[in-house]
Formats: sequence, structure tokens, C-alpha cells
Amino acid sequence: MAENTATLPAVRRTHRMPLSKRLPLVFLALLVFAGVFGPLLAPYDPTATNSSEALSPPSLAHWFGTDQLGRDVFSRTLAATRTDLLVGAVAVSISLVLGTMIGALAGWRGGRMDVVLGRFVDSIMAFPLFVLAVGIAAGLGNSLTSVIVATAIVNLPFYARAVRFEVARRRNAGWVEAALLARIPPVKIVTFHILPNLVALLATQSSLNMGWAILNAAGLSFIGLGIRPPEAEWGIMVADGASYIFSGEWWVFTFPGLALMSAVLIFTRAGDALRQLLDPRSK
Amino acid sequence: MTPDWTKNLVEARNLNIRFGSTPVVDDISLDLPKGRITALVGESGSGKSLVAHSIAGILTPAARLEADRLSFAGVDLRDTKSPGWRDLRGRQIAIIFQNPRAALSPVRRVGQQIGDVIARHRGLKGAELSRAVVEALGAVGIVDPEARQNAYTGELSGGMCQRVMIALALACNPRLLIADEPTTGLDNTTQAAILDLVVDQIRARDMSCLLITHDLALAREYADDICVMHAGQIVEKADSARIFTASQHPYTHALLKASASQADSIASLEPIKGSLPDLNGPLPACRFANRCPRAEERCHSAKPPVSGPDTARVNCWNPLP
Amino acid sequence: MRLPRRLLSAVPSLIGIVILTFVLTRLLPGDPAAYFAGPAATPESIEEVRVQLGLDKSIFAQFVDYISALSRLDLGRSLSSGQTVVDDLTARLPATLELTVSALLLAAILGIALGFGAALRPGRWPDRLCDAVTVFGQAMPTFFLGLLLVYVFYYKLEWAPAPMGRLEIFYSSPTEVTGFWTIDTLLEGDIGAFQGVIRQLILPVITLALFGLGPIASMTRTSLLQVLGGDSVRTARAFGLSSRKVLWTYAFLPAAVPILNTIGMVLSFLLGANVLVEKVFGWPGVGAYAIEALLVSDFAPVQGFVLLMAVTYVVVNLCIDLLAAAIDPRARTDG
Ligand SMILES: Nc1ncnc2c1ncn2[C@@H]1O[C@H](COP(=O)(O)OP(=O)(O)OP(=O)(O)O)[C@@H](O)[C@H]1O
Ligand SMILES: [Mg+2]
Repeated sequence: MAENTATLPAVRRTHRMPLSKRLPLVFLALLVFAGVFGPLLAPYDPTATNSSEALSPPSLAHWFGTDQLGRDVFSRTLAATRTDLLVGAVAVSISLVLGTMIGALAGWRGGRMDVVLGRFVDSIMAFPLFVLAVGIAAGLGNSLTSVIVATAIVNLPFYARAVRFEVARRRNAGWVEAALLARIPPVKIVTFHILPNLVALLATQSSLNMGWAILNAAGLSFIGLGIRPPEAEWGIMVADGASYIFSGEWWVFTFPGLALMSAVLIFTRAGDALRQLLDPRSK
Repeated sequence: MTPDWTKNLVEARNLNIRFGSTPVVDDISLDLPKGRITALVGESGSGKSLVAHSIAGILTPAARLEADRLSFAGVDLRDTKSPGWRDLRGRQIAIIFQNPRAALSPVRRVGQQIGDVIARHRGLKGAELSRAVVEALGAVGIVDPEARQNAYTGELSGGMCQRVMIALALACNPRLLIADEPTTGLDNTTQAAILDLVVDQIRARDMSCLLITHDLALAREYADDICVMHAGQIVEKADSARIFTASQHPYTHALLKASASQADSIASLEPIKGSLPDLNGPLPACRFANRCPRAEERCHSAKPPVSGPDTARVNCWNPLP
Repeated sequence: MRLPRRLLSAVPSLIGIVILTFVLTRLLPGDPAAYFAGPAATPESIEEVRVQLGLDKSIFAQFVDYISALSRLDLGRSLSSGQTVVDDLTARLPATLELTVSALLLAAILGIALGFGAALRPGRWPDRLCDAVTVFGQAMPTFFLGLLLVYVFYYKLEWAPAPMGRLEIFYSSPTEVTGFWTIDTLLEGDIGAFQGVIRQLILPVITLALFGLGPIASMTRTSLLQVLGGDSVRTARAFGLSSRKVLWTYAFLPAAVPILNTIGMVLSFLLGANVLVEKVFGWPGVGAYAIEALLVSDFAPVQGFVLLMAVTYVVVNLCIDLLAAAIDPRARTDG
């Protein structure tokens, strides 16, 4: 009886999620679309300056106004989507892969390997993460790569911990023992038989992390690390626009800031939606 | 309204409890007289705890209660917000639960918890209060109550927690103790010790008790009256001796027959034909009708009549002779 | 009795922090000596720096040097300020702490209040508000929120003073006793300056607090709902205790530990977000100091800053553990 009631509504929910729950996924698709085609769709060249039109407020010609060099803020905000998503995606991929490897190794081997890797991950978590990111980015030198690596490292513990837990839990299952007896190499067992079970978990975590990673990277570039000015990037654009607050040119920092916020919002909400879609039992 | 101690302690008439559209407790009427221990027996899910909670005023907000009458010594219990009623709970009506460790707060010393209740109802403070706390703990046979009052529930055994719970319940000398399966989850020796303690205290203090259990043997041993519930309906109420010698309801009969062959508790019965009806679906008027060997047409369509004297009452169209 | 063991439990974290911060300096691509010597260095001066920094020794010897320097509280010297990093950080830490502590307090008070409202009226407006604050707090970049507040309250409405430091120039800054200017101005009895300090604090504190509010509110809600639905609250109600007593003693206390832990986690967010907020509000704290140094490739201050923040975080979490153990006996056994 319990089984029937538990599975029935769940199945229905997977196939017919209410629109409000699917909305974040729709927005996510739009965001990715903007990331891929943004620079093509932009009405102006995002780097083209035009001093005669500098700092003009939003108008029909320039929806988001122009910045101090007369560049179109709308085009720059749109073009920046690609940069920010790319930085986030690369960083998250690195943490996903490295974190999974560390977690799988620790969970599978256990013992001293587990302790050492666990300590390493704990040490990362002992820092306020953004502070650590600043430290890593500084230590690696001021470049885009450093920002990506820093963002990847501070996100790594989430994956490492989740994967370690799941692998360790399945390590002693009967079928794993059987597979080992059948001389299937552990790497294969983990890769093809344990990790696929974690896809839903990792996908959800990645979406949530994307928002976090973008925020982290934009924060780093806001303080002047990584991406350099002529390039359009939300964090830098907000930093650039900050100086014009005191003369009332609000649009220069507001629109990229809103874009950044929306992107993070979409990723975190989509992560939640994804969780419900892939794991209907969780509330 | 002030309590009128000449009346029955609890009077319930046509008590209904539903969750949404599910009628879980169906039209039960029950009196708890003074100075007697009444056992409420029934399978898991038959609604025993709900009845207890409605008397103690702790029904979950999701439950909807309707009754023609639900009173304690003449005080209406349906209006749980009224100040008169709030003064009764803990003072005149106390309840102990199945899982005493969960029922007590894990972050407050047990003595403090008892002190909170005594301070609330007896207005004691300072040294008097601590003396009363120690006294309450001593009364339930806790050795070295001075030291034990400083313990947290996490540091006590299950049986000890239940003793603390009983001390809490008896701290203000209430007239009615509701014991909702107070020994489930305890080992056999502790079980007997706890029930002996409860019954001794009740007799000594001339209290009444509603003892909820699914164990018929326990009920016979400790209770004066036994009230049998099935799927939210009361099917039979009689002195405990009479239930065993001259049960009239087919359900009680089935319970006894099954328990005689196997063990003494309902929990380990060979299943009675069928199972508790699904309360969400269409229900026969007598909810036992679909499982009953003596069922007739009218059992499905009309509420069974109540017959018999106070000491042997049965709700059945076709009772056993 | 239990205290020393708690203190010991922080040791692995501290060791990890020390090792990681050491590794940070070795991450530098290319020649660290050249990096530390600055962009205008000659080969001789680079060599000089190498020897001076001990970079000619083995990695292990360098680590030993690093540890012994740390134990002497020597974090090196800032190239840009010429001072020792320890002096620089000590001078600026109070500004950062005053900001962070105020924000953490505000976030905790508002968050707990909001979570309470949400738990007591699930599904109603406080619950919705709690949800909204959590979702937006998570997504809102602190530096953007800070700038928005500056634009609205300083430029548009002119309610707030210019976002430039701890006190407007026409007040004299107080002599530092505690380093918290709110307290120091009061100690001097300078009410005008006290109000000035408060006015400067309001916007950055709100910025940080809004950022930290969400997790605290939603944890308060979850934890409280769980206890409220549990047996012990039911018992307290069944025994006629007043709703105030039930709510605070029987519901909030057992719910407190997860909330405290969340506050600890939020502190970690705030220490990070501080870097950004200090930049936005021209706040003369350690975060702003680290960024300045960072941008001119002055590495010792950054390293010192990272170390300081990590140690602060560990120490505060230790205090939170102790507080949790004092409140809740269940928090005493594990760990
Ligand atoms: N919150 C609730 N929502 C919906 N139905 C409920 C709720 N609480 C109880 N019920 C229903 O009420 C019925 C009676 O519950 P109750 O707890 O009174 O049973 P019980 O006789 O005390 O059983 P047990 O011996 O297991 O304690 C159960 O079948 C259950 O389905
Ligand atoms: Mg029950």
C-alpha cells in the first residue's frame, strides 16, 4: 500500500510538472541561448566606442544607455553573457571532474587515502571560500585562468564530499564484491557502475554551483582580478559603472548587475527544478 | 466555567474526528467515571491516540473535531483556547506517551521540566519549588532524585525517562491520567514495573485513568473497564472480567479467539479475516461489517444500535448471545 | 574538562590552513623571486630577493622558515606600505570586525525573527517573505546590492552619507580603545561623531546583512518547524505551559544548534563578501587593504589577509561550538 501511494504521484509529477516549476528551466534555455548567440544578436559592436554618445541614458536606440566610452550597454551586457557563462562552465567542469575523482578515490580506497584527501577537502572548507578564491587568484597571478582555477578549487569540496559518500556507501554492496571477483578493474566498476547512479545528484549540484561560480568569478573581476577591461564581463561592467553613480548615470552599473543577478537566480532555481525533476521524492 | 466534581470526569457524545474528508473517528461516545481505570484497546490505527489527544487538547491542527458533547467535570473541552480549559491541562488532566524520551525536552534538565509545570499550576518558587520537584521524582521511585533532577533525557534509560514522565504527570495531583501505550518499546520487566507504578499511584491518589494499549492481557490485568475500538468506532465496553468471559461483539470475540491460540497481545495475533477498512473509501455503517462472520444486510446500511447495561455495552446489530 | 578537547579539534583545520596558505605562495607561475622583487627589478635585485626570502633553499626548509616566522607572528612586510603586514592588518582589522560583527548580528536577529514568523504561519506572508529573501539573497551579488543602495540612498534620496570610510572628514576620529568606533565615540562622549559612525555603517551593514539573512531565516524556519511538530512541544502544550514558555524554552532552545551552525557558515560568507563591500564603501578594513596590495602584486599582505580571515573563521566557529554545547547537551557528545 505504502509503495503504491509513494510511486504513483511521483511518476505523474515527473511528466507533468506545473509550469511554475518548469519556468526556471525555460529561462535556463533562454540564458544559454543568449550565451551562445548573444554576440551575434547584439545590435552594436560591444567594444565599439563613440565618444559623442558617451553616457547617454536608456533610449530607443540604446535600450540600456551607453557607457563612458559611448559603448552600447545592452550589447555589452548581452555579449558578456558568453564570457560569464563560459567562465562558470569551465570552472564547474573542473570542480566536477576533479571533485569526482578525489571523492571516488577517497570513497573507494578508504583508509589512509580517505583521511588524507578528507583533510585536504576540509582544509579548503576551513577558509571563507571567497577569501580563499582571492588568495588563489592572487597566488596564480592576475589572469583569467587564475580566476577560473580559483573558482574551481573553492567549489570542489561539494563534489568530493558527495561522491565520496556515495561511493563509500556502495563500495561494500554485494554486486561490487561480485564484480571484483570477476576481475573487473575497480576503475571500470566505479566509472561505469557506481558513478552513473550519481548523475542526477551531480547535475543538480552543478546547476546550483554554476550560479555560485558565476557570482564568485564576477566578484573576483569586480575587484580587478582576471578579465581585463575592454572585454565585456558583468563584474567589470558593474565596477566600471560604479564611478558614475555619483553623477547619477545609474544605467551603466545597473543593467549588467541585473543580468548577473538574473543569471545566478536562473541557475539556482533551475538546480532546484532539476532536483525535483530527477528525484521526485525530495520535496 | 469551574469544574463540577460530582459529574463523570470525561463525557464524550458523538465524537467525530476527520482529516480533510476522511472520517477517522466515527461518532464515539465514552464516559470516564471517577476512580476507575478504563482501558481503550484496538488495533494499530484504530484511532485510540486521537481520542486521547482530543481529551488532552493536543489534536494536530489538521484534525477536525466535532462532538455533541466533550467535557471534563462539566468543563467544555471543545474550546481549547478558553482560559478555564488551559488551567485544567497538566493540573487536572495529565498525559504520558509511548516514547518518553521524545516526549520530554532534550535540552532541559528533567527537574527543570517538572519545575516548569509545578510553577505553572501550583505557583511555587525557589526552595519550595525545588523541594516539590524532588518530591515528585521520589514519588515515582527514582532513587537519589536530588541528583537525577539534573540529568538530561539523553543521559537516562527509556524506563527512567518514563518514570520522569510519570513524575511530571503526577506532579500536580491531577484527577485524570491518560496513558497512551506507556510501555510500548520498553523491555518486559520494565514494562511491568512501570505499569505497577502507574496503577499504584492512581489507586493511592484516587485518580481515574484512561489506559491505551493494544495488549488485551495488559488491559485485563490493570483495568477495571475495557473499551474496544475498531477503525474509529467503539464496538464494546464492559468490565474487564466480562470482556473475557462474555464478550458480545464479533470483533472482540475474534480478538480473543486469536489471542488465546497464540500469544497474549493483539500485535502478535493471527490476522483476523480482512484488515482495517480503508477510511478514504466508502465505509459500511458498521466498519467491521466486511470482516464480520455474523454480518447482515443492515450492518452495511445502518448504524448498529447500542444495547446492554453500563457494565456490558455493545454496538452491534447481531451480538453474540 | 571538555574545553581542551574542543580546542584540540580546531588544530587540524589550523594545520590545513597553514599548509594551504604556504602552498598559495608557491603557486606563482614563473619565478617567485622575480614576482616579489616587482616589475622594475634587475637580475641582481631578484637574486637578492631570492636569498632574502629564502627561496634558494629547499621547499622543506622554506616551509620550516615559514612556520618559524608564523610562530613569531611575522607575516612579512608590505612592499607598498613599507610596514610589517602584521602592523597593517592590526590597524585595519577593527574596521572590518565592526562591519562584519554588526552585519552578522543584524542578519541573525532579522533572520531568526523572519524564520520564526515563517514557522508559526507556514504558507502565509512571513513564509513567502522568508522564501523570497532566501532566493534573492542567494542570487544578489553583494557588490551590486551595495551600489544600488548607494545610488538610491546617497545619490537619489540623500539620506545616507557618501560611501567613503568610517566617518565623514568633518568629524574627528575617536582615539582607539576597542577599535570599534561606535563604542570609542561613546567612550569619548562624542554623540555627534557616534551618530556619524552609525550613519556610515548603515548601508554596508545592510548590504552584508541582506546577503547573510536568507540561510539563517530558512534554517530557523526548518529547525523550528521540526521541533514544533515534535513530541516535546506537544507535551509542553498538554501540560498547560504558557505559549511564551512553549515557544522559547521548548521550541527555540532545541532548535538553536542548527541555527547557530548556520550563523557560523554565514560568517564565512560575510568575511568573503566583506572584500567586495569594503571596496564599494571605501571601508578602510583588511579586505580593501588586501585588494590594494593584490593589484600591485604585493603578495605578503594578501597572504596575511587570507590567513587572518581563515583563523578568524576557525576561532569563531570554535566559539559557536562551545556556545552550542552550552545550550544543547546533545551537542556535547559528538566531535
Ligand atoms: N495527521 C494525520 N493526517 C491524516 N491521518 C491521520 C493523521 N494522524 C492520524 N491519522 C489517521 O488516524 C488513524 C488513527 O490514528 P491513531 O494514532 O489514533 O491510531 P492508534 O489507534 O493510536 O494506533 P497506534 O496503536 O499505532 O498508536 C490512523 O489510521 C491514521 O491514518
Ligand atoms: Mg497511538
